[in-house]
Amino acid sequence: MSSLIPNFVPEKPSRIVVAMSGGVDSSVTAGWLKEQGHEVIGISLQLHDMAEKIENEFGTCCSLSDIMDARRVAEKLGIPFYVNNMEEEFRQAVVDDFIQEYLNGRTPNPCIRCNEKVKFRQLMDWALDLGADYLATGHYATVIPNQENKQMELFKGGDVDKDQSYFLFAMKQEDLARTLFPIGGFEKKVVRDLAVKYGLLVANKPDSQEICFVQAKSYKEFIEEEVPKELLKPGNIVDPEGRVLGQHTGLHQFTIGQRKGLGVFGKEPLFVLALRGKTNEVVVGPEQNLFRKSATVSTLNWINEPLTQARKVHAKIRYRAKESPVEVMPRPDGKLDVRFEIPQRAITPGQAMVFYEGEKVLGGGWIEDLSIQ
Amino acid sequence: MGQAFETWGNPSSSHAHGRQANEIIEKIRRLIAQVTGVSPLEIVFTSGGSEANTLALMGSFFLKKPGLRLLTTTVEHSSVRDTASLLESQGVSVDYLQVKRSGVFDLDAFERQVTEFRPTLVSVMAANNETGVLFPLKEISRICREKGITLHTDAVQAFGKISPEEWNFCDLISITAHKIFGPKGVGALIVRRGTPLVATHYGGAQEVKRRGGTENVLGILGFGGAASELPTREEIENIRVLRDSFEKGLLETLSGVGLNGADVTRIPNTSSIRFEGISSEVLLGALDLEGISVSAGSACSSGSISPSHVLLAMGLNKQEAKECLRFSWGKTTTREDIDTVLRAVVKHVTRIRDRKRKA
Repeated sequence: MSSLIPNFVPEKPSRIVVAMSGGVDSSVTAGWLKEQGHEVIGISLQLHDMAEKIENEFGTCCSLSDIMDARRVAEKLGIPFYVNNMEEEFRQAVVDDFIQEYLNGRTPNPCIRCNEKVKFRQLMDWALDLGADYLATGHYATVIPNQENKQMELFKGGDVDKDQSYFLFAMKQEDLARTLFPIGGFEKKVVRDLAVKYGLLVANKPDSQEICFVQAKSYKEFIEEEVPKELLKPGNIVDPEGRVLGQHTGLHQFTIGQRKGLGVFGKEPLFVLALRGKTNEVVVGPEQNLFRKSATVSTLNWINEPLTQARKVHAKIRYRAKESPVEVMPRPDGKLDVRFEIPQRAITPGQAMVFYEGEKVLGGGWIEDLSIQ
Repeated sequence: MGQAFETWGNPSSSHAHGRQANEIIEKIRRLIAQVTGVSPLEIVFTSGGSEANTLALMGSFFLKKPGLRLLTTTVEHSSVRDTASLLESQGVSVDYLQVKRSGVFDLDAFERQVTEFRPTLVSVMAANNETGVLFPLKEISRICREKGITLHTDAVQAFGKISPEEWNFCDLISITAHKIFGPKGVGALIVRRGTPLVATHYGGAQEVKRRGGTENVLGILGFGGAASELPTREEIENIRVLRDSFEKGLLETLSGVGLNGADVTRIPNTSSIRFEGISSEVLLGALDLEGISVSAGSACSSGSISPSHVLLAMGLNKQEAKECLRFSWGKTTTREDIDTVLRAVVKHVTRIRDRKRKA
């Protein structure tokens, strides 16, 4: 089976710009579109200068060696290929926010932010300036136009393990109408087979795992290298009742649900329950306290019509979490209260919560600080 | 191409094949000497302009007498810039001269800096590779001569576009084949008689011990071919007329277009133009898709474009520098070519600006 869900690709030969990262998915996207008879143009953004670290090959997105892979793929496919240096824009829109979120005791998702602020902004603009009809990416997600209202609807990808629809919840209708995910309905195995068929050297390149700009470091090391020392403030480690159990040297070292490296001990194993940005406190407690049934989500985006009344849907609290049944209740202030049927472990402020109805993505938003609730 | 088969031998070998290859090299050495107005012995073949620049600077450094002090400018090619900073890291005193906002060489400042900094070596390009702006080498040379300073010029961009008399009096001169329609990967450093220099490549006594290693015979043959077809004075004048009409046409048709180095003496084949609000990669790509090749800034190894240090040094901000394209013309350029490019540029600039206005 090559496709689980039909996926929108124009029948008429079009000029399509493919965002190429040097990975197998976007490479096959370009090759497949060319095979269908479209005029394909490859573009890459250089988002961080890895020139001095080129000996390190970590198989992540958008470093110099990956751009060279993308260039080689474009040469192999015989398509034009352009690179734009957007280190500064990426730094401002994604990396600075990533650091600031950690310093505030939140756990950010830079990939969604990059999609929203960089990929589907800068890349889309660039594609349209090149006279393209569409921008295509190698995401595992599908888009299908609704025949009745002509709106584009977003669905999960064809490969259950690779589905990336979670990262796309912030997309706007006008962008969905101009974006193609040509391999979004394929299984990864099919994509790798196509890479072999097209003779692409990246056929066996490992999938990206890390946050691209953090590379082989831990995110903690990355932040400590990037941030002036005085911004990494020490504070107290407390229990839920506020009793001080110990000290820490900066909130950025912790994520909710973390057990190792706390340096404090109780009668039972202790886990990070919350990070309080205002008071710079790490709240720890037993594992059962990690499970919560409610959360508040803000800065919402709905792919189609916005939710205006309470409704039972499914929600995913992080990329690798399973969807779980919820009841969502819009609030007068524009935020959304979410009540889970099954308690969720480590609902984490700063992560996105994405809502699904079956295979269909309804929309999503950002999980607010638990302390604000 | 027939002659290419005669380049099979190693020019250092005594046998017939070697002699044949050596004969070719020496013939072309004489030709290059003739078209640059120097003596054949002064030509040192290199792998191109970057190696020639590196050899000029490093070769002066290794002399170690009485201790190198290098004065250069902020708008040099990266082969000069990066070698200068390497020398700096080795303890050499290096000073940089700023250019004026229009890209013009500041002779007064240069004279002051020569007096204060007391360089032993000055490295100044003849014409800028991005804007085509010419530097007053005669005046610079006069000042250097008075003080006994060695003068190196990167004449890569000027070679074939202005008379060699404008630059061949310098002590060390870099030229390259591909800027005169020759093959990539071959060039020369002209070392004027009496200018001391130490080799930076070792391997043999080639090039009178100034550049060891077996010569790139095939490349040198191509260099010779290109040098024998340098544009004539009339052809150069024709390029200038066409270039000027392109610039005039563009400035009259489009608003928000700026000419870098306008009103400054430039080589006749280069236009560096800023299109307000349009990033250079975007327009470069749109033109490339129509078969028109233009350049932007300086390309890094990934093909990604960084804001040009030359344009930044001329006072443009980063945003402005990222909106500039370089158009280069040659002796085969026709009036129709100019019109085609002009129409394409106007079409795409208008289209892109319209789209941005609606967005």
